[in-house]
Amino acid sequence: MLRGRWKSAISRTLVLLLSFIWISGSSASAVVTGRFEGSQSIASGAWAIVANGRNQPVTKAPYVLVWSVTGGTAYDYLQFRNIGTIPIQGFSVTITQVRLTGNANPREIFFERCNGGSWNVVSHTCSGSISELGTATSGLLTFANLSIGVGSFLEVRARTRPNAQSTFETTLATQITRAHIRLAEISNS
Amino acid sequence: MKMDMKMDMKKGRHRWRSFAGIAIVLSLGAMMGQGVLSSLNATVSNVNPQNNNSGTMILDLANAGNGFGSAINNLAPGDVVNRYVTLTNSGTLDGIGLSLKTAQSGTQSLITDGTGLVTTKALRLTISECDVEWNTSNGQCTGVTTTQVTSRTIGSLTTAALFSDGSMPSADVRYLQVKIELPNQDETTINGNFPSNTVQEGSVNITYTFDLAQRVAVTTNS
Repeated sequence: MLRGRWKSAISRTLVLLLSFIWISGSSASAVVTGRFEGSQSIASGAWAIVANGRNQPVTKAPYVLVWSVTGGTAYDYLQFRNIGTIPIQGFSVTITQVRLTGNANPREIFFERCNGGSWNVVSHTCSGSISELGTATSGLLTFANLSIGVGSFLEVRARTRPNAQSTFETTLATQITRAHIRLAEISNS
Repeated sequence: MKMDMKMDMKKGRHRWRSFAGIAIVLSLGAMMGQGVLSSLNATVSNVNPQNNNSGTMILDLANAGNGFGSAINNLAPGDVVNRYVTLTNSGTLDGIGLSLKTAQSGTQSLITDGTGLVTTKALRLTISECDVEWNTSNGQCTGVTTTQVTSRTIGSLTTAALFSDGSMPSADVRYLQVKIELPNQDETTINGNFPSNTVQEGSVNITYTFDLAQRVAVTTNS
């Protein structure tokens, strides 16, 4: 008797449930909707700089120079190239020096640019005026107040102080942060 | 003798009953037949046919300025790009529940925020409305500005976001500013190599879908 009542109650509930689902389904499908689609492409920029030898192909690796300081001044000419998509206003270089021969300590390295002219890599002269970008023996050296356009490069001379006879391997690793590119902009169009 | 008389009387009653039964059936048949033949019908129609029209739901979008018509390139963190579109309910029915959803493909770090140790922030979208046309050159609204969809990542818009005011009567026009922002964030590029999960040099293709539902169905008496 009780089972019969339960069965009856369950079947009634099922019928109600199914009816509800059917009603909901039919009312939802009956709603008319207006729709419009539009598409847009968005791309982000990039800030990136690499150091490579003068007129050498771009490699995304630290620039390594080996120079012998034999009592006089040693020079190396390199380029810092903007390989990103946004103009660069500055960047940093991490300098690591390792002595290969001799017993002298690493000395300061001077990074210089030739303004309004070009370097003569044989006579080590500048046809314009020389300005110093920064000096360091090791660690992080930041170059500021620059303007290197996309795809352009900054040609720099690295110069050591005269030293005892030693050979050094100097590694320059570039790094650049958000702070070294333009400020954020708001545009309307 | 008496027995014979009783038998005759019984037979007589049976015959009478049979006869009466047949008579009743025939009478009913005749009555029904006569009833059908003698029924009266009256018919009337409206002289002019009643005209019943169904309404339409048509949502139109037009670029105001560049709108969605041109790509957004070279975003730096913190950049904001405002584009303008105009939505019109060109249908005959009033609409409700205006919503926006997007479908996007491309660089994941521009679509959803990083989680855990990855702290990248994806593109954000905000929709504001001006009750008069926007100045698309400088982003000024000389009327009243209302934020319709608050700032959220592009990826979260795969679920439709309802406008704060989603009603659009027939012929209603909505002047919208679609604000795209790459949140300010820092990344260090070493020797020209981007960090993993970078937001740099990414691209996303977004399809915006605006939906407007019909007004609530009504029952009228007149």
